[in-house]
Amino acid sequence: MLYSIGCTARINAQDPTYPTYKAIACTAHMTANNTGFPGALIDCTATITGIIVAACRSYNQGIRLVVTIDDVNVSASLVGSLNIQHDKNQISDVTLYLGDTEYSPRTNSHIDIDKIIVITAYINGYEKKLFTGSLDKPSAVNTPDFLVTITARDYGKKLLDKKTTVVSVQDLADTTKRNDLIKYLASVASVTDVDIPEMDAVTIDNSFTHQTVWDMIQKEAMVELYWIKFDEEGNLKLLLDEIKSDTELYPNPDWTYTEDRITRLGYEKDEVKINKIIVLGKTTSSRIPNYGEKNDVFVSDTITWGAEENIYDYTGSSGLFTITAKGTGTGTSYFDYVLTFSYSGGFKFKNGAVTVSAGGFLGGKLDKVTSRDSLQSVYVSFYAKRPRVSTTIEYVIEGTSQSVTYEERYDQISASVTDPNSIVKYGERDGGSIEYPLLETVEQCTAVGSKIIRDSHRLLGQTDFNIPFNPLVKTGQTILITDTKIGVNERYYIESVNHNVGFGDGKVNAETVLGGVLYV
Amino acid sequence: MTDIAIGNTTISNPINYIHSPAKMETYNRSLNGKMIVNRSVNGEDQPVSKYHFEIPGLVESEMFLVKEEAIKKGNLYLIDYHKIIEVMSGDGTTKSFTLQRFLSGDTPVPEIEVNDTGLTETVTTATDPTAGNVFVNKDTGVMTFGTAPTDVDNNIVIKYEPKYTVHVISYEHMFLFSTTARYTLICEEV
Repeated sequence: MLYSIGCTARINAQDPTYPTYKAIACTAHMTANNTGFPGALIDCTATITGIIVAACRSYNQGIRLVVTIDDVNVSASLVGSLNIQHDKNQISDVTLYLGDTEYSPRTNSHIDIDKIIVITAYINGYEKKLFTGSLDKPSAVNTPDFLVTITARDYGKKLLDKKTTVVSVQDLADTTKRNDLIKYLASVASVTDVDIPEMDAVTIDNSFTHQTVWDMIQKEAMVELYWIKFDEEGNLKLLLDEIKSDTELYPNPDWTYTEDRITRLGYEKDEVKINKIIVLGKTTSSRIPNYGEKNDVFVSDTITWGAEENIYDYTGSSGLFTITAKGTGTGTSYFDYVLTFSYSGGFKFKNGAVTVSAGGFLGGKLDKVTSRDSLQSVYVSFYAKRPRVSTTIEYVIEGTSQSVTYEERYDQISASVTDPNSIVKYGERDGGSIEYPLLETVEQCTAVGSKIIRDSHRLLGQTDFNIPFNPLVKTGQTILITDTKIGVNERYYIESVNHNVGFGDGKVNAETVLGGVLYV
Repeated sequence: MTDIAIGNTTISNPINYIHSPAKMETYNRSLNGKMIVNRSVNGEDQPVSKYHFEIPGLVESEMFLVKEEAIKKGNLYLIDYHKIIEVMSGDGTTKSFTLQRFLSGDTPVPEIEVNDTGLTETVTTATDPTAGNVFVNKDTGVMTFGTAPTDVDNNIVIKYEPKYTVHVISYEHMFLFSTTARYTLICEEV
């Protein structure tokens, strides 16, 4: 154990007060031994994230930000304010200002489009990365105060900037599992750091015509009710769209903020938009045959080929039959042929006989060939003498004919989803129909419909509130807030996180504005 | 009242001299009135403060020298021969801490206490003190402790005479009578 140690840490318990990251289990693996010192002693240092949670919830925050652009630390030149906006299922963006002429985008090659920008916060001695992304469009003004404005977005930008056509993704990806499809689509936009949970295999063709990769991945993720996020490290993550409002399944909210931690609390209520919707999924096509009247068919005739006549290229007809002969081989004293009787239209063979009355003999019995459309043709092989003499064939063919036409029928799977409780409470709000061609089953349609209805109930209770700067709050977490004046005492789902850091007069003023939604 | 040295000028016995630290902090009140404080911290996670200076009662000859220097260089050194206090927090492992200002000179030697116990201080550029000792570099403000201060908030207290780096923000020329004028110099630590 003298040389190296592999250490994995995982969270294995939640604390009611600080339910996120409170407890940590740490396993140390010995990977090497030294003779005479067989790893008797292991020094293990575990940094417990619980401490950073407490640091973020403190009243008294020591804050420092480090911003690097293209690996150049520009923190000393930050002026005005810095704003980081995360919204659920959207691309995060950043705005900041630099007050030093050194960083003019005209003269400094590091301040350029697509350069990597990383923002790290140090809060009460703990480090937390806030953002990894790339520069959008740097600009500068001189008024005469010099100011460089930097805007940046996370790597979702790569997906949004790449517009293309992808045909049959399931054939291009490693497997036909949807997570591999998404992984492949991300790679089309040069995003390779992905963390996507395993999903079911797709059973239909997934093709996308000229559109952004962002849209493609959104459509794929929607089927399995996932949403897209690029985390602080720049990794693509798919997160299950679960509300965590079930207090039995999730007894503790991720965060608890009471009045003594909130500097502003707003509440807004709007009406329900949709509680009834039809979701249309994939379309399948089928061919249905229509049969006409049945008629008896009977032909009886002879064919004679003179000694000089070529049987090889023979095409003749009798009634609605077309008769062809084809050479199949040449023996020392016979030529081999196949004679075929084809009916133009639906024909079903019943009976028949062919005889070679002169100049040859039959090679077998009449046989039938049934095609896909139950059209039948009849054939027989025969031999004609070599050298050729006059050859005569007599034939009788009996059967029935029936005409067939086909109809193409298209079926689309669909689910009509309603929320009866909501209809009773708020009246019916019909959302019409919506089409997701990638949905393969009725269950998926129902799940998507339920999600749409649930999303439309989000307007019933929305809060936005300001808390002391907390770099650990993420979209998709839940927060319990209590305020006696407005009467808010619920668990909200965090759909937007906005970090505002101001640097007026060298003083730092940092806060986090959260947008919470109450799903009922 | 002692003199004040600013740049290469010595201002003798200014009356009503003010130096006031500005803590780099902002304050918010939560809904139920509790205070939320945001502090700027430096790379060692120590709170940052900056001093503001008002030096009234300058005579004309002193003022011109200061003006001249301020225009030439922009930033000046200022020593007012008053000791100030800095408070830092140890973390149990860090041995090297940086004062926010340089020392005014080899003397006076700073007085440094860790957990209310005085240490033996030496002003030197060396960085290898033994336990119980602390070395201070007067030109960088770096203090090196022989023993890492324990992980306790605000347990390192330093009383020292600093050399500020200041910028002349403005100066005032006030006429008391037609022939009697008073100059006021206002500086801020950069």
